[in-house]
Amino acid sequence: MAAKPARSPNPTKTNLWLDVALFAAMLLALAPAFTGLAIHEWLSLALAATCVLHLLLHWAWIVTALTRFFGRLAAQSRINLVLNLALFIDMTVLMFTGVMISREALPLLGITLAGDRLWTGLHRLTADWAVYIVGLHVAVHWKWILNGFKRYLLTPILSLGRRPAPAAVAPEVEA
Amino acid sequence: MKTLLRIFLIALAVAAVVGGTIALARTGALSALSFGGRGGEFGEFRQFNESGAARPAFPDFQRVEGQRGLGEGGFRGGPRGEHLDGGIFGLAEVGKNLVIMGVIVAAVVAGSLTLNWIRRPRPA
Ligand code: HEM
Repeated sequence: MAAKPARSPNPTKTNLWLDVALFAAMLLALAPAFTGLAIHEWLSLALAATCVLHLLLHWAWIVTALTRFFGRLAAQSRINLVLNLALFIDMTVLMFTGVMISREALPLLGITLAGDRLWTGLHRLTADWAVYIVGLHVAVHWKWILNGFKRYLLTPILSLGRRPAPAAVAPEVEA
Repeated sequence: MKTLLRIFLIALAVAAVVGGTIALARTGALSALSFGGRGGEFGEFRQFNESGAARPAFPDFQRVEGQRGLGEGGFRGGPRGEHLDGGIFGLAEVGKNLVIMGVIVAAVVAGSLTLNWIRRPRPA
């Protein structure tokens, strides 16, 4: 059987769906009172891995923005970089303090850390900040998000009804 | 190989942030932040950290609750983990966060649209 030609992945589409998943997971991680602590911890650890993937997918932007930060860079990109750095630091501290106070995931892996109140306080504080920084992060990219949704969600859904009938039969030609 | 190098660089950046956090925690500066700017009153944390000794139990919980209006255990938000059993009522938290983020997005979008409108090219 002949192999189907591999379709080249569409990076914008991949990014969009990964970002949607990240955002949804972040919303859940921010609400342990809804998920319960065990789901909160495992979901957040998975989120950490996904964040690394997110960074890898945006590597070219990171390198360009970092190398041009003190040189020629549009003001908006500079603001964007500072915001992204703040998000990176906040998320790192959030994950780290989460691991330090873990009561479900790490003990299950046989690791028990002496979680203390400083880490708990910091975990809560950085979680609060994350809401604002993620909000700003989404706000800065609103055009890209809107275009992505229009192109990859709205247009395909709207065109579902309008899909032309398969051209199995040649269209009749009126005389 | 390229990807491995990038992951290593990310790990390095993570290590720098974690190292910085631990260093700051040892100076006591972080308790000021995470205990609502009242870190000065938790001098015990700083002293014990600087000497490298184990931390003491949190100083006098009852007094903390009474005097500073903080939750049980001396930090914001109530008793440790007690409210984190999970349940449908927790959805309110998701809603609250969505509203906060929505307000931020709306404000930024409104700001940028207004700026674009002000800077629009006008016919001479
Ligand atoms: C995206 C990452 C994370 C976010 C947004 C997040 C957010 C939160 C929030 C909002 C709370 C509730 C704080 C409160 O009581 O008001 C919490 C509590 C908690 N989180 Fe996380 N967290 C994250 C990662 C983690 C990780 C990776 C772990 C451990 C593996 C963890 C372990 C805990 C624990 C044990 C608590 C209970 C703290 C307490 O005693 O009140 N978190 N987290």
